[in-house]
Amino acid sequence: MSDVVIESVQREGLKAEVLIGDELIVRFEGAMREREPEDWLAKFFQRITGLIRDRTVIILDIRDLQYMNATAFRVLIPWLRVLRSRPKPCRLYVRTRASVIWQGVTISSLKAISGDMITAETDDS
Amino acid sequence: MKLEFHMSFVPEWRSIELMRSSIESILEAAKCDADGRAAIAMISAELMENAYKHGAGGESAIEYNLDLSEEDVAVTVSNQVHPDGASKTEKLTKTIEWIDTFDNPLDAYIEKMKILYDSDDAGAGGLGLVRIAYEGHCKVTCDIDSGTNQIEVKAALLPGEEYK
Repeated sequence: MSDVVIESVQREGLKAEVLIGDELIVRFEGAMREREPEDWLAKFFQRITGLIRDRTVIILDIRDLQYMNATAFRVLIPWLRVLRSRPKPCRLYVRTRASVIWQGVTISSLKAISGDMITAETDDS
Repeated sequence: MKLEFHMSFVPEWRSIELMRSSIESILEAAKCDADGRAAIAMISAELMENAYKHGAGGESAIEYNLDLSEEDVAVTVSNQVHPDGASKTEKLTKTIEWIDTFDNPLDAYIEKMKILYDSDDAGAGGLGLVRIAYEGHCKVTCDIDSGTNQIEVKAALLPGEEYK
């Protein structure tokens, strides 16, 4: 099944998309650097949660996310708890790019608190 | 390699991203490696965001300094404290003291993320400073001049650390 974009959010310098096909893919492109992303980003994650249904895996594709500030990062962290506390806990496959340095460091730190629910797949390009 | 960069600017939120990407470009021109560029740009952006959020605002400038040599890296951001910003300044100094209670910055970073993981309060602050300490391999300090109401936050590469 080919992926269909079912949600797309455009913010200054950032594009966020949700695609559904065989997998549920959340893709961010650009830079996440807003002063107060809590409102829209938390709601965006909430909408994704509503799309999970009986899936147990979400793919988070941040390969083209050049930067994410700590303010946005702290909205992502509680969402992990939501995914984990579902009746069928959901795992997150995070697609990263080796050349975008912050991604490797940040995601490996995130794995330290979320155990095996996060798997990182690094694109060498 | 030796690089000294200073800029004084009246901030708009969007100017912080311009500064972050510009600093990364300057460092690339100075032949700084990719890890160093990413870390210093992140440190710079997080410190400037803090200064913007908790500063006096209006026409009050943010002073940004980057000092880079073969062995040392220091990013310093100073700004006027907002007249009602005493509690935020206290929170900042307490976060720095809290980071210093850990044997290494990774433990502080993980602890801070655990706090956020267990909380619904996405507004809980301090993650930026802890991120600077761990991902930036830095000692974070702050100095407040109560006479001028100026705060200076400095992130300096820890002794023996280097960007690989």
